[in-house]
Amino acid sequence: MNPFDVTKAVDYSDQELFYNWVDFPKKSFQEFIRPTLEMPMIIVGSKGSGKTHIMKHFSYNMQKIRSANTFDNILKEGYVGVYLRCSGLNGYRFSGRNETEETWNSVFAYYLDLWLSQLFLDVINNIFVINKDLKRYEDIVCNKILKLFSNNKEKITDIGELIDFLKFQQKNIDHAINNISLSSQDLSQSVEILSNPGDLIFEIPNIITSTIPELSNIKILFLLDEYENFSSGQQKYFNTLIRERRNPVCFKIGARRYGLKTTETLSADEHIKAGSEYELFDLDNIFRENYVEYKEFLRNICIKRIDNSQIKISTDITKYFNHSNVSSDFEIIKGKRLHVDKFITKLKKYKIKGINEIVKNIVCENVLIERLNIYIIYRGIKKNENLIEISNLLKEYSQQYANGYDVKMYDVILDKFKQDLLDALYRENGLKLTSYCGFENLVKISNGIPRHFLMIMKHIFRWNTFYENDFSTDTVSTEIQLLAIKDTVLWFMEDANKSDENTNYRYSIESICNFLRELRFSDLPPECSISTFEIKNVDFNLGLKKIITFLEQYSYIIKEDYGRRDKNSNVRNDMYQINGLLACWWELSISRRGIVKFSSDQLEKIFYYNRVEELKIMTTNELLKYNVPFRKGNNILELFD
Amino acid sequence: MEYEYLYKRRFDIKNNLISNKSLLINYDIFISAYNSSYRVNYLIDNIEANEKHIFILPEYNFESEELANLEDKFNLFKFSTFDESEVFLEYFRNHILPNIDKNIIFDITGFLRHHIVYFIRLCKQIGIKKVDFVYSEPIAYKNKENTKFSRDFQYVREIRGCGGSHSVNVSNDYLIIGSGYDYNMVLNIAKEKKKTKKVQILGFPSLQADMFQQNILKAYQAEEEIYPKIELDSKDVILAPANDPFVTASLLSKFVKKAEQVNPITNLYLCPLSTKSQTLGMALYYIFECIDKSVSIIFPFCSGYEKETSEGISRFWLYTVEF
Repeated sequence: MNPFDVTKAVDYSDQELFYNWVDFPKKSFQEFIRPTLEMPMIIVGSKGSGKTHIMKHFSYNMQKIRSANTFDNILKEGYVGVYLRCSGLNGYRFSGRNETEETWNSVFAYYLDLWLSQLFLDVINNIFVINKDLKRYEDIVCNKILKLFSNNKEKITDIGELIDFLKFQQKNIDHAINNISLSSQDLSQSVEILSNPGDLIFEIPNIITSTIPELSNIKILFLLDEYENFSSGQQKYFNTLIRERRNPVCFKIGARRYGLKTTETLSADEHIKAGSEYELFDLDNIFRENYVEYKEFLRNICIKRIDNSQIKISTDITKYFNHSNVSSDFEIIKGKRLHVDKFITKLKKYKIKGINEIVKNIVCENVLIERLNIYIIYRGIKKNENLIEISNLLKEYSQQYANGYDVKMYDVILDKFKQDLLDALYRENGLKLTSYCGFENLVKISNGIPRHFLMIMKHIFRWNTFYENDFSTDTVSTEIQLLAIKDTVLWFMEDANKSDENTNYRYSIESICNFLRELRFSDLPPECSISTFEIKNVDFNLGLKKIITFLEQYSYIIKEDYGRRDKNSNVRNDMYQINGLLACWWELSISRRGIVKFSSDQLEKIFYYNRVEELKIMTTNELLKYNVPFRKGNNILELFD
Repeated sequence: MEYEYLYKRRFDIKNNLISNKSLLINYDIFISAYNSSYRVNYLIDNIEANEKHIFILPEYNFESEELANLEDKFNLFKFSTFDESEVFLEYFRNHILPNIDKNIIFDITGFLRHHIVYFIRLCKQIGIKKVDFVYSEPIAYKNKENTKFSRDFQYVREIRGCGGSHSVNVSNDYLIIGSGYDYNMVLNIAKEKKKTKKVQILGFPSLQADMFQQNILKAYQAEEEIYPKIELDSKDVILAPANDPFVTASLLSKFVKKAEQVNPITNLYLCPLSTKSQTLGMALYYIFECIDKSVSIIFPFCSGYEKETSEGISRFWLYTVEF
């Protein structure tokens, strides 16, 4: 049994959700979400951020499990949670077929009211089962609720029958919608709307809490998950309900990043405003800004899942993951020394004088220092310096460093470029980059998206089983970690298989990552730890915005909080880091230090597949600046004889 | 409903001739959707009918010069709409209702799956008694399991006329997918109905010996979205013959009944993405057992389909459906 087989909350039963629940350390999700808060809250987060898990935690089904089916304990929480997955409503059927948008919107509003009311009444019905004393109010409650429907002559005294009545109304709408495509009947002729928009959603809870004294202090919390499944028109209706919210009703709405398609309402096209009419809760930001707690959170999830699978492990989860073993890798590199061969080939190609002497001087026991010496020689070439002199100096420096003395020149470069030089060394010697391995790094790679981490863990356990390793006794090798990352990347990239006339998102992702990798592994990279880029906001255009929005929506790129101000215009530029999983796959840095600046035109060349020829020219010209012989544009620097 | 009692017959192609052609009657109306596959064109040319109605669907994106040779020979029905009800509703009024007692044969090979389902739904709705359906099998798909069928996924919706009235209780929802090579579409549908138990219908025996393995290879790629993972002996896989709609409908019906006995299904979604024969089977199950229940046939709609995905014709099947 793989403890990480389930990576999505939807695949868990309520019992399993409860069983696997892990709270956020220090400040709990309860404190973040505040279920009885009157101001509506929109919870946004990337795919896999855990929105569903959190929202379901506040649903009535989970409240029942938490309170062991006791009425008093549910009451103590101060609310009952009515959970709705918006996709269950099949909102896609409310469009087209020559009906006006106005007709669809009004039918949808009534349909949603009926749907939510059925869900709520189902909860009430269940509460009546738990506390049979409350059944004495059933008759009066039903009577009051029926008055919300016009022309109603029904006599209903039982909540179950009332639900059937609502279901019957809903069925009439379904039937009418289906019949548009099978006959010539108009929707407006066949659907009779019996209540005012919002009345059922606000008034049924009001009737319940005002009629039943035991529930008088209870808030009715509607939890709408997957709000992105509603069309703009449908969201417009619900936004109106957000604006017009009345006690005892509260709303929590979960949506993907950019899932809130509009902030418009039906009230003369007015907008709902964050801060005053609803609170925006960004789950991604919480995870990314509280890195220490996030790491602890993932550690706790790991331990709980493994423990629930009857695998005994210690609480120090980090010790189960192998890190990059630099000393043994250096031994392999020493045996190959391919980085030196490549260096020599390059010097020969550009007919540098005194190659033998330079190479003899820069070679040393410590291969990292050897690679650093090569970097310094490249810098010398760029500055048109005397390379023999530099190499003599490097020979001295290498010896001093080997003897334990500080070498300022080395320290300054290593402070910024150590990881880049290490990765270059591995790459040039044909070794896989293992600097992404280890628990800490796997957490970092997940970029605040727990599902990414869980997916890696799932594949780690799969590969462990394949290699017949036991998690509790054998540490996970770097090879297995890299295989698991690879499998996760393949899954992650599936969502990018979308394209239209001008855009191919997969191409855009591959193209930006390829470009940044070329820069990172150039002879003198323009920045250290490349994986972040900046774009000038001033000349932003719609085409680019569409791609950037998509990439950010699916977390292929992560927007950095504040961006940077442009020195000249003082306008804040947008800054994005490549997602950790992609960074591993494309051998980019998973830390954010150096930032590569792009103009809109450059980014268009990178992102648009129909500008691939221009990109080739741009890449060649750009790389000329950072690779020996360091030409500027088409002008060759006269460094060589 | 005893689906297996419905009539089917196989017609082999030998030396480019239909081996037992004498068993085919002369039809009044032959309906087909044009594409560039040899097997579609073969049936257009070789099935005898007084009138041949050839549908030109916008999803195949044909230029008018590509259709020039058809103009004189057949009755062409050209459409620019992607809505299956707009394709068929008017056509039924003008061409099927006046000929309701005539012999009609409908080639499902070139039609898209949502058209097939809607056509059958409409037949049921207006009370047609009998239609012969024909399906031709290829020798192979062009690029085996990597054959591309659809382009540019747009959205998921129910096939017109096949939307049920669903329950707010979603605790035991099922999504049964006829799984084919177009696994990206399988992914799209699985993502749309995340909180459902996913069951796959795989074509076994397949149309050709190697196609089952190719189908499995594609099905594995959708594994993460179709939790739990695919195991062929699992209860979440229905193995049904790729070319038998009646056995498909029967197995589907039995599966649902069995699942209902364990725990009543709250909502059922069907999605036909496998062979057109199995699509026919799914549609038959729907019209005979699911209308007015909380069952819908949903589909991932695309703006384009490849004009030619297969090679040759190995044989064809005739399925007689009595509504």
